[in-house]
Amino acid sequence: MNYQSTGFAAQRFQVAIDIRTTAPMHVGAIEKGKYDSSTGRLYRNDGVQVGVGATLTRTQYVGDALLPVIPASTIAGKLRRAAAGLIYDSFLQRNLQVSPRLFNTLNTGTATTGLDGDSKTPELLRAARKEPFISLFGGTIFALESSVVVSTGWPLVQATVSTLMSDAIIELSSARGLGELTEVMAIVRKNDLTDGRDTRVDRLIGIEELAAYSAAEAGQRETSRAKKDSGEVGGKTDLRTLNAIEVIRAGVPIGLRLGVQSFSPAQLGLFLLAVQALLREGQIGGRKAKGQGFFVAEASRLLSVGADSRQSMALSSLFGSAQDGYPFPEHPVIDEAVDAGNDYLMTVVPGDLDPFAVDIQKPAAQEKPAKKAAAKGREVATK
Amino acid sequence: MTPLRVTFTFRTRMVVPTVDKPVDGPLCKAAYQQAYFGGHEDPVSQQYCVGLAKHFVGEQWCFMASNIVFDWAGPPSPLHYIKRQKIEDYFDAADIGLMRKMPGFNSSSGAQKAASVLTQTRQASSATAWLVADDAERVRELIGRLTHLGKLAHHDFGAIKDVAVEQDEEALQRWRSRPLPFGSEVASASSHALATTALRPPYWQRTNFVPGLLPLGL
Repeated sequence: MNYQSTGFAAQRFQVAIDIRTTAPMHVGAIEKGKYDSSTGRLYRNDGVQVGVGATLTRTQYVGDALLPVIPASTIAGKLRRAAAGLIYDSFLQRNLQVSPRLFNTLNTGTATTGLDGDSKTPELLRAARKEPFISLFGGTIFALESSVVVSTGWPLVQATVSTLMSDAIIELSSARGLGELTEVMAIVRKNDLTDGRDTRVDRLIGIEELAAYSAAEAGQRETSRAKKDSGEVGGKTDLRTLNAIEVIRAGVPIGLRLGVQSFSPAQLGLFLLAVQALLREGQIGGRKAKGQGFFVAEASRLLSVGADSRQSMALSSLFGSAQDGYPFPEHPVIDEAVDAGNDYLMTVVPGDLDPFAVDIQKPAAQEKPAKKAAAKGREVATK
Repeated sequence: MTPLRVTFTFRTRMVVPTVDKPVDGPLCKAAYQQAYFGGHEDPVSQQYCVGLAKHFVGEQWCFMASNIVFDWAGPPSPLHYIKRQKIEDYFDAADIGLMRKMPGFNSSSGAQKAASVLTQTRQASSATAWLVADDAERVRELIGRLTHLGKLAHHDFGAIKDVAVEQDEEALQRWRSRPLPFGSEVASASSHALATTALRPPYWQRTNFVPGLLPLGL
């Protein structure tokens, strides 16, 4: 593994990226609400039954202010998958395959749901520290530590300034709260069969079939209404529905803040390349197919953290423009890291990562020989 | 021995702790991390090198460091997050040849289990702990390394904004508000109750549990 540098002292860095939404962004919350279109008001969990059902966006409090956010877990998941994606690309270029266990481990952190923290030996910890991906994202059944801290993506407004890991780079939005930072969009699902807009359906499906369908629909509606009237829960019976979805408006500035404890240039390089891949994807949240969740990074910084964990110093800007694909600027720390990260990606093999993808419930000794061979990361013929 | 009071203020909300946490927990973690990131051969062996005085009862001992007392500001609010598993990822990986074949998929259990987790966060205006140091400089060094308190630190919850370490004679009494070894002469029936507990970090680890005395409150 020639990507290990011997002279690189462990250092702590922060990455600050100020993005701006270029489309409505929706990261779904577990809570549901109601939207009253006559007043334009969105009710959140207060038991009001007025209006249509609304899917809310994820929010968090800062002081007394409830603000829309990109949850840290969403960003962290995308970052881990972005790093794993770089490794997969490299494997495929070299005709290498992975086991499902390794795929699970790299994507979501563990090959199984059972933890085996007691097997965390000094040898394992040393190996984990040397492996750039594992030392960055941790996890596995050994509950290894992650050296990445991912902060909540806060809208850049006055209320969130004191919550940010490092200062905002671009201008703050003057918006103050949910209603100014979010909007509600309607989702109408049509039933083309009963709407009668397509004149071909009577010939395409047949009058008798259509009549039977309409009768069945009407019967189901009656049943559902009777259930509701008697206090039971009645299901939706019509394909034609109206729902509302709360989104962060396009044009909202949001601060993404990441911290990393770096062991080696390769590890820092993999981290920076994964952040770059995340920005190049340029989308967070649901309804991607509907063009939602897209953003651009307007400014970025790499910061060095001092001996006191709470003091940081800006080293350099980190990424060029979106139009150019977010290239890295020239800087000794960034150059060394990115070169080492690319060297790692060119040389890593599944066998380097497989020891972290073991399953205590199914020891490797009990696996079939074919699976063991696959786990060693040998070359396979191109399909 | 130096009696100290440590006061933390926070930049972000905390995940509300489900049990009381002695302050030696974060210090031991900081000592472990310092060794781990510094390239020590066996970082776990360094976890108790924290500069705190120890309280012995026979062979059992604990650090002379109190539970952390939180001063909450405002009510708690729920935090929901999910561990996502998408069958499309597996299809894609098999399609492009990354895996030999599409594995079975079950997001309700086993390797591909997805999770939906609901927890509580709350803003703390401050948190205070009292401790007795054998090596006050070592304690200050480790406190300087602390970045977060509580769960989900890797998602920046419980981020420490500032720390004040001051000499405080009260610490000679108040460190006792913590799990103590069974039979400790510093506990009384009005201050502690018999329970099974860990006396040293990691406090969550069941194999560390022994009969001990838990504080009833400050």
